[in-house]
Amino acid sequence: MRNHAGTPTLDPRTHRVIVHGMVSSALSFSIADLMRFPSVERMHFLECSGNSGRGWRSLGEGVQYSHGLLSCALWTGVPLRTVLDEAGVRPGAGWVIAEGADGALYDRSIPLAKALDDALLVYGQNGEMLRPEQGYPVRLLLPGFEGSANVKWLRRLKVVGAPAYSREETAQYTQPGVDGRVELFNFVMDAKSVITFPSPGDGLREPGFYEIRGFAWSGRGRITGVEVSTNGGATWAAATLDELRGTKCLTRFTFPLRWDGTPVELQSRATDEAGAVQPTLAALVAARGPSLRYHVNAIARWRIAADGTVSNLDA
Amino acid sequence: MATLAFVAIVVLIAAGCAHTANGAAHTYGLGRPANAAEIAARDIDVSPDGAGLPGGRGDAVAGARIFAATCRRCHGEGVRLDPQRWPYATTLFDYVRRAMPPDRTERLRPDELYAVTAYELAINGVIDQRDVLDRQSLPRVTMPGLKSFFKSP
Ligand code: HEC
Repeated sequence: MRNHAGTPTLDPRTHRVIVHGMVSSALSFSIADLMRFPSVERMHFLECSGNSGRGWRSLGEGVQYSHGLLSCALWTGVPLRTVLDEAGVRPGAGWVIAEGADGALYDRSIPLAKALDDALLVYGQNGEMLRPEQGYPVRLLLPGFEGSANVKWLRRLKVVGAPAYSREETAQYTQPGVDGRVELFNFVMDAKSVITFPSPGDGLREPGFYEIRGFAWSGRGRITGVEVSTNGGATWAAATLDELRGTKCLTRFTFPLRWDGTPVELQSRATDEAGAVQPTLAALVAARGPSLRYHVNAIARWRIAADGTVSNLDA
Repeated sequence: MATLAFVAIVVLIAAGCAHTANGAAHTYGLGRPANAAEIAARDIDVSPDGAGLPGGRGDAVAGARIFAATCRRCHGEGVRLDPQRWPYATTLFDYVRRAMPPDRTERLRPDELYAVTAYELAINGVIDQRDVLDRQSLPRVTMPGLKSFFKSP
């Protein structure tokens, strides 16, 4: 629940969302109007692009710190496509600038293809109205896209030909790659998983049976498999996936562990329906350079010591 | 007849849904037309080509005074930006207009916005102290890091 200028107090009776720019008719919607459109309810994860970013001093303080900028919720709202159709997108449009009503009038450019695919304007979360920190009374939800693109407290959608190049999509939330060049509009959060038990701060008490538990997710669709290694990546075995395997949604996995009291190196590796396999940190550094602040989906490596305490080998 | 008319409406709705991006509008009749005043009040984004910039002008000398009065309480003598991280100078104008000061105690007028933008660009070594920024000259300021940015097609 991050913001750039605090949480605004917006009155749902007077707040309006306007849709303008390259549309047949510019429209202004009240929250009541938006709630009258045909609605959908979907489970999707939301991950901060800085989740697990290298350089956080707190990476070693536990899984909540290294992987906790992540959630998965039931979202209720109207497909953005429905609202854009109501205004009639004109030929030549390629982007939608979404702008919040917060103190920063936070704005991001969204590809029109995403807006017409699975983007939602949501007003409900987990069966209740959005909470103020989550964007009440209405926010953008872009399944699988980096959290910061999901503009909260939405007040305006401008259909345009080219992106806005706002501060938050140029100077912020971007990073130089291997060759020093900076890719703009890199939105999708790639396949990732993490073992939440055992994990740093939540170790083992004595030798014996334990169930390894964790989550896997991908911004490119469903998780098709998770493998676990208990020997530092030398060999891998399939974990059991729970029933709930939504698209762009957290998928829970489990794996049995009989711990004999000797040191163990634990890892999990996710594969998604696009065929992407979660990379090692070394592979990610080789592909993207050492500056890994954002979009860090590397395999996490936990070490269980002989006394049962767990540490993050990459902190 | 009534049934036939009903079928025709259903077909129209279905056709409307199928043809996105083609200008088929008002499928559900929800919302009302956005009027020019309410669009103008919110339509503040500035493009790299200068679209959206208001009239007015300002330079770093005037900007220094405005900065001291309005921005110093949080930023000291000036915001040390990394110009390599900002591909377009127009973004700086846009950002200060939309987001600064974040407590919204004051809103700068266009002349003042051009002036603080000039001040910021001057103290960060992008333009000269005497350069005047306005709707024409601001989009022509080339940021030193522009070439390092790219976007996939
Ligand atoms: C009440 C305190 C406050 C005042 C007054 C204020 N700012 Fe800021 N400014 C901030 C904060 C906080 C941030 C960081 C916001 C963020 O990252 O979301 C910031 C960020 C900035 C940035 C971006 C810096 C970067 O490296 O990206 C610029 C430029 C800026 N301010 C300019 C100004 C100007 C010009 C004024 C006067 C008109 C001003 N600010 C007034 C608090 C303030």
